[in-house]
Amino acid sequence: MASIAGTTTGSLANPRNLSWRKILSSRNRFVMAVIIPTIIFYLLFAYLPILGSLAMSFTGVDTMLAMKPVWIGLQNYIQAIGDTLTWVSLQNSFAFTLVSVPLGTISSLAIALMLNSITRQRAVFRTIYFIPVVTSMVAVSIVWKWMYQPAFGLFNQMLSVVNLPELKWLNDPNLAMFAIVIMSVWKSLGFNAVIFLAGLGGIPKEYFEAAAIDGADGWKSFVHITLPMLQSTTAFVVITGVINCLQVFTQMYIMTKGGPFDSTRSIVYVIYERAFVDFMGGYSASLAMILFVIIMVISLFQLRMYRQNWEY
Amino acid sequence: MKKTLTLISLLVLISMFFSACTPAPQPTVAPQSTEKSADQPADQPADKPAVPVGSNAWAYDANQQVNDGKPITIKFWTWNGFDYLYKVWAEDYQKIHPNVTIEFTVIPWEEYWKKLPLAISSGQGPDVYAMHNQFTSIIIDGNLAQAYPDEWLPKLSEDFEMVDAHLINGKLYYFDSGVMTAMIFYNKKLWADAGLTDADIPQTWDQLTEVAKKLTVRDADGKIVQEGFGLNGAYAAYAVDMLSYQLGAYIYNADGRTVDVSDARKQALQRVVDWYDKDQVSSRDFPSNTDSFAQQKTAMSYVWGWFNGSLKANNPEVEFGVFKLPTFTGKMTTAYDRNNGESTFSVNPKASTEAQYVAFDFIHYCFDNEQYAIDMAVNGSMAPVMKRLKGDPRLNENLATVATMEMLDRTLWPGAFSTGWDPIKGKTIGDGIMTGMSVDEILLAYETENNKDLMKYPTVYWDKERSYKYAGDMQP
Repeated sequence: MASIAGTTTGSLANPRNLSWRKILSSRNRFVMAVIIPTIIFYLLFAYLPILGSLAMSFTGVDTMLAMKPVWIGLQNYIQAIGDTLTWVSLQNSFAFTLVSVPLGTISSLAIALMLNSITRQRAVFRTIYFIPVVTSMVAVSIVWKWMYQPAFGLFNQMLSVVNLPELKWLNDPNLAMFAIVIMSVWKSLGFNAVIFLAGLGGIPKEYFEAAAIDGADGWKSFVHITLPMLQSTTAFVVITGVINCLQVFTQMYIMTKGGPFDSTRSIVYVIYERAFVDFMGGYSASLAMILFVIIMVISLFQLRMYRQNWEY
Repeated sequence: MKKTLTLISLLVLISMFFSACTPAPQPTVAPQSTEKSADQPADQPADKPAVPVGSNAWAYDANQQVNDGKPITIKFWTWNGFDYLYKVWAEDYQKIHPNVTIEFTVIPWEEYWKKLPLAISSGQGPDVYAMHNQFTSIIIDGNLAQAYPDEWLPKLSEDFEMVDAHLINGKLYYFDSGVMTAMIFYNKKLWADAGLTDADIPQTWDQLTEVAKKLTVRDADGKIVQEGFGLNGAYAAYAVDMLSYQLGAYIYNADGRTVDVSDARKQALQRVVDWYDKDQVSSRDFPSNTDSFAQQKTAMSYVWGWFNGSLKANNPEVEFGVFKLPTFTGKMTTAYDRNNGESTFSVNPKASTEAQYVAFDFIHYCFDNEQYAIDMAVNGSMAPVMKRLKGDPRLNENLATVATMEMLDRTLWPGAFSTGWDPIKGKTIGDGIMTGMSVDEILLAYETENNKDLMKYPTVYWDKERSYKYAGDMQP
C-alpha cells in the first residue's frame, strides 16, 4: 500500500511534508479537485445535519412544529434516560445485534469459502447470493411477513409437512425478534460473502502449499492461515455489521410495528415515533445522539481490538 | 486522458448522489376547462349566465368573483383517499372561476402526516389541504390551520349535523364531510355454503356467535381454516370499545386524562376473548380480518364502512353484504359504537391573504354541493352530514351507507383521539388478546399505558363523549 501511495499522492502521504505549497502543487491540485466535492457533499448532507440534530437535542418539545427552539438544556437526555422504553428498545437493538452479527459473519464466511472452492460458474452463484442484497428491504419484509404468517404462511406449512409443531413466529413475543434476525441475516448474506470472497482472494496460495507440505489438513489451514489472513476483512464485516444492526428499523416497521409488546421495538423505531408521530423533535434528537455515542464507543473499541492483531 | 475520464466519472457519481435524494411531491395542475366560449375571455364573468344560488343558509354563490378576477394559483394537498373526487371538484371550480389555478398534490397517507405539518411550519406548505380529525392535536396545537370565518358558524350549524362538536375554543377549523361507523361484513358465498340465508342475519351477539359457529370450518387436525367471525388486527381492540359503548361505558373518564376500566369494559373484553377461546370462531393465527375477509378465509368481519369501497376496488370477486351491528339484547338503548367523520379541508395560516380567501371560497364551493356530498357518502360508505340529504334515495346505492344511516343516531363521536391512542390500543389490548394474556392483565396494561400517554398532551380534544345525544342512557 505504501508503494502505491508513493507513486500518486507522494508528499501528501507523509503528514510531516504537508504544506500549502505542496498541497496546491499541480499534481495534488487534481487530487484535491476530486476530493473536495465529496467533502462538501458530506458536510452539507451528513455533518451539518448531525450538528443540527445535536443542537435540536437541547431544545423543547415543540421545535419541529413551532420552529421556535426553546432551550431546555439536558432535560431531553434526562427524560430519555429515565424512560423505560428507551432501555427496552436499546436492549432489543443489542439483542438483534448480538445474534445477527455472529450468525451473519459465520454464515457468510461459510458461503464465501464454498464459493472460493468452486472454479466453474462462480459468478452465477455469487449473483444468486447477492440478489437479496439489492432487493428492497421493504419488499423483502412484506414477503417474509407473509411467509411467517401462522395460519397460511410458507414456513408453518413446511414445518407441518415434516411433522414439526407450527410456530407463532411474529405473533410470539419470544420468537418475533429471532424471526426478524433470520430474515435480516439472509438478506445481507451475499454482501458479506462477497467481501469475504475478496479477502480470500488476497491470501497467497503459497501459504496453503507450504502448510500442505508440512502436513497441515484443511481445518488447520483454515485456523492458522485463512482466519488470521482474513482478520482485517472480518473486522470490516463485524464493525459495519454492528453499526448497521444497532440502527435496525425497516424490518420492525413493516413486519411487527415494534410488537408484540415492544419485543421488536428498536431504538431507531422509538426515535422515528417520537420524531414523526409525536413530533417531539428535541427528544427524538437526544435519543439519536445517545445512539450515536453508543455506536461510536463500540466502533472505536472494536477498531482498537482488531488493530492490535493486524501485524503478523 | 486518464484524468479526464476520472473527472467525468466523478461528475456522474456526484449527480447520482443528488438524484438519489427523495424528490419533493410533484404537483400536478388540475386540467383547465375546455368548455370556454371562443369569444369570451376567461376572466370576465360578466357575460356568463347567472348560476342559481341555493336557498339554504350557507348557500354558495358562484356568481361572485374571487380575487377580483385576477389570476391566482393555490396549492392543494391531499392523501390518496378521496383524491379522485377532489380532482373533479377542483376542475369544476376552475370552470366557474377560470382565473384560479389549483395545483394538486397527492401524497400517500403514511407520508402525508409527516410532510404536511413540517411543510406548513417551514412555510413550504399548501394553501389548502385535506384534513383528518385524527391529527387535530398536531394541527391545532401546532397552529397549522386557519379558523373558518366566524360568520360561517351559525349557517353551518343550520345546514350540517355535528358542527358544534368540532368547535375548539369557539373556533372551527374543519367539520365533517361525511360520517362513518362500523358494521358487519359477511361473505355471501360462504354464507350460502353453510346453508344460511338473509333470515339468519343476527340481531344479538349470541345469535352472531351461533351463526359464526356454523361458518367456522376446520381441517382434519381441528385447526381453523375458515373463520366464522374475524377480529384480528386493529379490530379486536376496536370491538372492545364498541361492546363497552353498548354496555353503556365511555372510553374516557370525565377528566379526559384517564381511561375507563369499569366492569363493563372487562365484560366487553371477555366477550372478545371468548370468541377466540370459548366459542372458537376466531383464530389468532389468521392475518388481519380485512385481509382474511378479502381472501375469503373469514366469513364475517367487524370493520368500518370504508371497507365497502376497498373490497369493490381491490376484490371485486368477493360477493359480500353488510348488516348493522348486533346488540346484547336485540334492542339499542345505549350506543352502537363510535362514529368518525371524514373532514372538510383546512387552510394554511401562513398562506397569503389572497390565497386564504380563495381557499375558503373553494371550501365553501365544495362542501355546499349536494352531488359532491352524495358522491363522498356513496364512495366512502358514509352518511352525509348535510341535513337536506336525509332520506335521499341516491344514498341507497351503497349498502354500507344504508347501514350507517340506520345506526347513526345511536353512535357517538368521542372527539379527536390523541396520536398515541391507536398504537397503545394495539400494543395493550390487541397484543394482549393475540398472545392470550388474561383479561385483568390486559386491562392493567391498557390503563397504565394510556393514562401515562394522556398526560403529555397540552390540550384534550377527546372530551366529546358526554355530548352524546343519549348521554342519559350511558354510565356517567
